[in-house]
Amino acid sequence: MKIFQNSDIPIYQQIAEQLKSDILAGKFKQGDYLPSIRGLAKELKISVITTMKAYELLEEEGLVTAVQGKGFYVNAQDSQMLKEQHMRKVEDALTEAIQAAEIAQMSDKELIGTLETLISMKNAQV
Amino acid sequence: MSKIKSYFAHLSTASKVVTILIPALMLVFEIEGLLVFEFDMLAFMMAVILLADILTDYFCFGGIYSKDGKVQNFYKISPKGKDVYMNVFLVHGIKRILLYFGFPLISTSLVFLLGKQEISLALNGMTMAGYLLGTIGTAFGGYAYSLIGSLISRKWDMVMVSFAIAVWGTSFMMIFNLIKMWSPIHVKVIILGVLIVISVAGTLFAMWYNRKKLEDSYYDEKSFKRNQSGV
Amino acid sequence: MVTENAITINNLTKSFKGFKLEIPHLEIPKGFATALIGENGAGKTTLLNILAGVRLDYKGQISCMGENFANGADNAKVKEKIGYTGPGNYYLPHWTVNQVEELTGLLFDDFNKDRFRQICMELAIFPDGNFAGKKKVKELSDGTKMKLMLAGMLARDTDLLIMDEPASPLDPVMREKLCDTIRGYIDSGAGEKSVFFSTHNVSDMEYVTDYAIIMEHGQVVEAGFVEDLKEKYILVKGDKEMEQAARPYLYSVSSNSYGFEGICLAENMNALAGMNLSTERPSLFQISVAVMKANSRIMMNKR
Repeated sequence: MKIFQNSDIPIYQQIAEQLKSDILAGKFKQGDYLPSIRGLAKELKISVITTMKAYELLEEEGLVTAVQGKGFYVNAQDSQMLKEQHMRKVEDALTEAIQAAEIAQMSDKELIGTLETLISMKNAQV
Repeated sequence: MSKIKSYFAHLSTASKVVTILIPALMLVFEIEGLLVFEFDMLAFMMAVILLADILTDYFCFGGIYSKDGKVQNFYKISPKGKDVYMNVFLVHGIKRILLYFGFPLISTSLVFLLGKQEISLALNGMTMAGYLLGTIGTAFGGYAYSLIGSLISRKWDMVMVSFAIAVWGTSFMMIFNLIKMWSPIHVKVIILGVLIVISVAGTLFAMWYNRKKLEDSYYDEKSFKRNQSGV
Repeated sequence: MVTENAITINNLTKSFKGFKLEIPHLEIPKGFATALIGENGAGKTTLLNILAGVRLDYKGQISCMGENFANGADNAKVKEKIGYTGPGNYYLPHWTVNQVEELTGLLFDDFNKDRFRQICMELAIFPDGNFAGKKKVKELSDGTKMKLMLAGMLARDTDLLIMDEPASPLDPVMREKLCDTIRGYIDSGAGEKSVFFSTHNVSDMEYVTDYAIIMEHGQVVEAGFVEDLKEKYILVKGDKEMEQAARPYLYSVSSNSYGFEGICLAENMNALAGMNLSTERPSLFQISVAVMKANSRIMMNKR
């Protein structure tokens, strides 16, 4: 797991994101326990409260469940539900982009053009 | 037994050796002096014991009364720290009494056992009463000096201060020895009386002061200065 | 978040000449590392000394690791569970490391000699890597004296560590090591072991601080989990023109000829809407400085 301490993204979010992709990639199976909060904090050289917040974020999203005194175990992942969840995120982000484009008085064409440019740039990176 | 163990833990290896070895060695010298040189060296022996005792005191309690000392904290955070702290002083005090009174007692008993009392009595035509008074005076003199000397030397954590006090102690014993030999009996009685008062008062004061130092450290210093780092 | 407390303080007061420590209520969570932050003379050492049982001249009720004590009563039971290091070396200078080991063993039944030696090695107390028991305390540097105190404390079986300025005499490498040690201690307790330390080196200790308590003039002016504080306060940056308009809503402002930055309460962010400002999550250091500055100002105005 990589942690960027000077990143704009809060550390707890970085951890949550990486654990999330690990879970979705199947590195943690259903019923597996995530590393203990304090153990992970020790490994990553960050404070306990930060890992705790990351785990709580995952719990809010329904990916894991907390068991008092035992830790957090990975829930069964409903792939359809996850996909929908992500699609909703995409919709939200694009709506925001449309609103910004209106303020900037961009035409629909220009907006779509920008999106295409961004996609091709991303593909070029990979 | 655990009290003695606590005390010994406070002594460095060298101090442990000195504590046991010096009195034993001095006793051997005393016997040798009597048998070989026909000379009672009690005062010299006591001077060496005083020197060793004050230096040992430094390696046990040096700087324990110093103003910026934090050592009391080390005892105070322990569930049994207060007891250990007081016990160490207690054992040290008892050791002192044994040293300054036990040594002359054994030494003088030996003089009589070996039938050498004539050596001392012949010196300056001392009477038996004068001789015994002098011996008791030597014990009280050494003890009183060590009490006061260590109360002063513990204020600083400097071996040189303790060393100076120890060296003055040996000079004190030598001068004391001369007074003991040549003073008339009524002067001896007066000096002995003064020394007994100092010894008893000093012992009581030291016991009180050790406890007070520990108790005081739980509470405010009288003149509290805000900007000191100890806030 | 539901957490148990390692320490609960109620109605704590302690008066010095010209100084008063006054804490109506304070909780220190169990299973976390709590940092006590404040200027010199804010009362940090006094508070830690009271908790460690080194001072007894206070009024108030303290509950610590399940033991209650009040108004200066000495509680020996709680001392079995607490490890403490002071701001200054508390060993006598002429003691040897061997004596420190022996004396710590005498004073604490839970002291483990082997662990002490092992920790001495881990903390690199002896430069050549060999346990040099004959070394005298006065021959050690201030940093190494601190390490020796830490070793003595960590070789015990405790549930709470109270450390007064442990980072100050340490070099950067050792500070990192101290952070690792604190995390390791907390991990070993699985939520039962807690750490409470004071520090001036907020930046160095940020990634080991779970809960922060900021003190000023004998009072607790802010306390909370660091992640919550980072949401409560927001770092705002803007151009020079905006400064006057933004100033009233900012906790503390530092400005130069080009622009300014300050800390704003999240709840006041609405007032800044419409100004061309950029925002950032503040570091614990920035929050601490802002809160301390703001409170110094308030105190000054009161006088």
